[in-house]
Amino acid sequence: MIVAVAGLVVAAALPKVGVPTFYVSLLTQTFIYAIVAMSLDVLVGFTGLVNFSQAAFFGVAAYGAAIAATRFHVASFGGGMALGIATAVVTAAIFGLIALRAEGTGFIIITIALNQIAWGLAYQWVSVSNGDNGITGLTRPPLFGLDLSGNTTYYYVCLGALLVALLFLGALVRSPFGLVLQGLRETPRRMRALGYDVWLYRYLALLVSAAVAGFAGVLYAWYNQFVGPVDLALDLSTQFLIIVILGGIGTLYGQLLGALIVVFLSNGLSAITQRWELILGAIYFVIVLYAPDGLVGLGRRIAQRAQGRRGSLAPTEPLLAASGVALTAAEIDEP
Amino acid sequence: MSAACLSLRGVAKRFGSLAVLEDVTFEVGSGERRGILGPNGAGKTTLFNIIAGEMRCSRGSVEVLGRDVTGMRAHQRARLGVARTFQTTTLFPKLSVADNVVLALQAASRERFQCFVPKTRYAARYDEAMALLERVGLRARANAPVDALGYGEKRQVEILLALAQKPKLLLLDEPTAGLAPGDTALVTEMLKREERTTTMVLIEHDMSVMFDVVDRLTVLHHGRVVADGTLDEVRADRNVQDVYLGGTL
Amino acid sequence: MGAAFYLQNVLGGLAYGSLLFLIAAGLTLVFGLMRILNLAQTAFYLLGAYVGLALVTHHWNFWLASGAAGIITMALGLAVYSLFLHRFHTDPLTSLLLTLGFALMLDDAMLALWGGDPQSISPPAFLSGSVQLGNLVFPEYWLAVIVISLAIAAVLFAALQRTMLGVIIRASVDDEEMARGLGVNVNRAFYLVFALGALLAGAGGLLGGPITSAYPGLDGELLPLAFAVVIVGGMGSLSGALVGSLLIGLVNAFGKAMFPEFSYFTIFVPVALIMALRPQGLFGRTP
Repeated sequence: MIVAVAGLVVAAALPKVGVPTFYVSLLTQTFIYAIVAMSLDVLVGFTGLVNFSQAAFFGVAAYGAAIAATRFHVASFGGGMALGIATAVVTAAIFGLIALRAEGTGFIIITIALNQIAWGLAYQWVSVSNGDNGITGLTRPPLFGLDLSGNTTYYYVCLGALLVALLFLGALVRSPFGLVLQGLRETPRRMRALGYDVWLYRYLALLVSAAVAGFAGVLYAWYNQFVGPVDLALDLSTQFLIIVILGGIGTLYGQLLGALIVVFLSNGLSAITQRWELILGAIYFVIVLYAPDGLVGLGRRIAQRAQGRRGSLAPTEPLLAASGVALTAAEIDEP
Repeated sequence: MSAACLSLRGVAKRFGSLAVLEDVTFEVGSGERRGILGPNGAGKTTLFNIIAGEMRCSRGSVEVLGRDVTGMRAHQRARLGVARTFQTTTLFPKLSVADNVVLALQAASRERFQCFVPKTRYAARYDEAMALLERVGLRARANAPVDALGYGEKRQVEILLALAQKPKLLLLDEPTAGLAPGDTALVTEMLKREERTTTMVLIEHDMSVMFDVVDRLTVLHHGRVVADGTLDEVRADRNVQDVYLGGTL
Repeated sequence: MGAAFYLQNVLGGLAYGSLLFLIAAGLTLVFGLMRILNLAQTAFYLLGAYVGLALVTHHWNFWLASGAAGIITMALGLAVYSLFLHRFHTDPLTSLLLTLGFALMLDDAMLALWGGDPQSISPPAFLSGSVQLGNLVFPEYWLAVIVISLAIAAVLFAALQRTMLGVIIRASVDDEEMARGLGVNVNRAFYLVFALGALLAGAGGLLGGPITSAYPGLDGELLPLAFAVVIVGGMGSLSGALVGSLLIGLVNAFGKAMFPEFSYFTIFVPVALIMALRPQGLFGRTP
């Protein structure tokens, strides 16, 4: 709690103490990525659905807002946001119908394929998406009369959005509904026997997660003032998943740490070396191998060790099951 | 017979060319305690899977409380009042013991869709869970993850979840498997304490538990019903003695 | 759209599909046997293409270079498997995430070594001509790729039916515990199958090079197609992989020719249909 408040104070102060605008801008992107990663964590860490199409929800929302603004002159913050989120939720509603026919590895494979369809549409359906050139010339609509065109102002908006998302998702996972999701992550078979419609809850989780990812997607469209196929590429979905794993599956707030690392490595390192992907890949690889509960989990264990409560730094469990996520091979949901 | 709680008619299950169940027909009356007996591979667990709706039968029909549930999915049957326990413990290992029980308790409530109010606000639900845990002496462990419980305790929670569903039909798949004698007695007591509003069907290898709990037995052999009757009738049945029990009863 | 149009696309689709088979065969067998979903499988293909091309530019014989590229890829695959993946055998999610990290690193390493420009790969000289039948013009090399892939498929099928390893694989796909119970050396089968998957993908890289060429991101484009194949065919089924590859290859060719704006979409229509009607895939086991 103290750490959280201190972090918030620091975050609020940063632009005021002469941090270069380049870094303010990177932090803005970090906040947006963290929101998506948290929405993905609800699926991966709490529901047990390893979704490889989170960027599709993020990207279609960005496209939705961008197309609404450029073609249909939807110029308000609320209008763009609502349309973007609706696009994401509708996409998730369609994806869910197909992907939730399978569980475990089957679900992963199908979401990979679905993400690629979304990318293919953005790339090839030129008459709507403007293809590889993307949609340019977006402007940030004012929020309650506040002009968002300044990067510092937008930084604060995204910081606020991050808090809203964290509070919303934090409440979600602590609610009775959140308990149901965790039950699904652990033992779907018992959930069925208890009378829960496993499919329905997974579907609802997917829709909620997509809405939050879409929220971030619209913020990103306005942040970048450009939307292109790269914003819903499979690579980006993978990046979001890497953020979740770096930060710590099932921690929500850990995603801020993961996003910080990924955004700063990909942008900051590029000044020094072009091989940032190799470095990121290596860090990620080591985390999966030796700290499957992510940096937050690692931090907790170090803190425990410092207090002498536990002797060992080794993860209590070798598997990602540290968070309860495990895949059963190609289980097919009952039709 | 409207008094039947469970009624199976001509139930058959095939996996490819392998027939696991063939023409299984029997009824279990309301409030009855029925034991299912049979050697390994007789199809007992498959029968449970079919009654609970985890599997569909290849032929035949399943009725629960007079309703045909043959086409219903597992969670729909659970909502009608069918609960089951599993042969291998099937709990939520990372969740606390209390949360495990609450999941069972809230399955039929509206709050399971509530996503903004913290679950701890539903104090009545947790009180109810505590009362249930009290009954089996696990109240002190309520906040521990199920993972941390001993095997015997896990088996008790396994049954507790099913009881928390307040089932009309309870299917118990080897509830005392692997338990130490003391724990077996605890579980037996738990089952015997249940009121007659709950109908029970029990698979059990421990004959003393079986005879202690059940009123009637159905004997399966190679997927077929070979005997069905009161304990004494089954004990006296030549068929059963010859093909399966070899006179051990 | 005359007969030539259809024939052209049928042949093109079959050629592309047979390449997909070389990738998907390893993917499906590795998954079927050890439950590892190898996200680096198409990176293996791309590596094979680059390595093979490097050898060809050093005046290696095309076929020899293809085999060597396969063996080098296989060596790398085996190293990754034995060092990292093997111990996560019971944990499909961790092994999947590790292959993802490995694919990232391999991609970036290939970008560093071979640059960002697409590299075209020429077929061997004696196959560089075209067959002409009326309006239909068809590269000879496409036919060669179809023939080679079908030959490889035939060898794989025969091996799966006739050899002890094949028996182990088939038994393990059905029931790993039972296979272990039979006392067969499942561990050795794991290494062999992972090696085989990498070998086929690596060798396929140069074989397919004249059709796909080689460029960064090719692996990312092929991966969903390979997955589509596995979904359509059924996880773990080699016959499924063959039928699925050819089907996806054909749908891809016709989709691109007939609905250029929606070709990605058309590929995944059969995938969605299969998922809806037969989630275990055409040749998958009924659950």
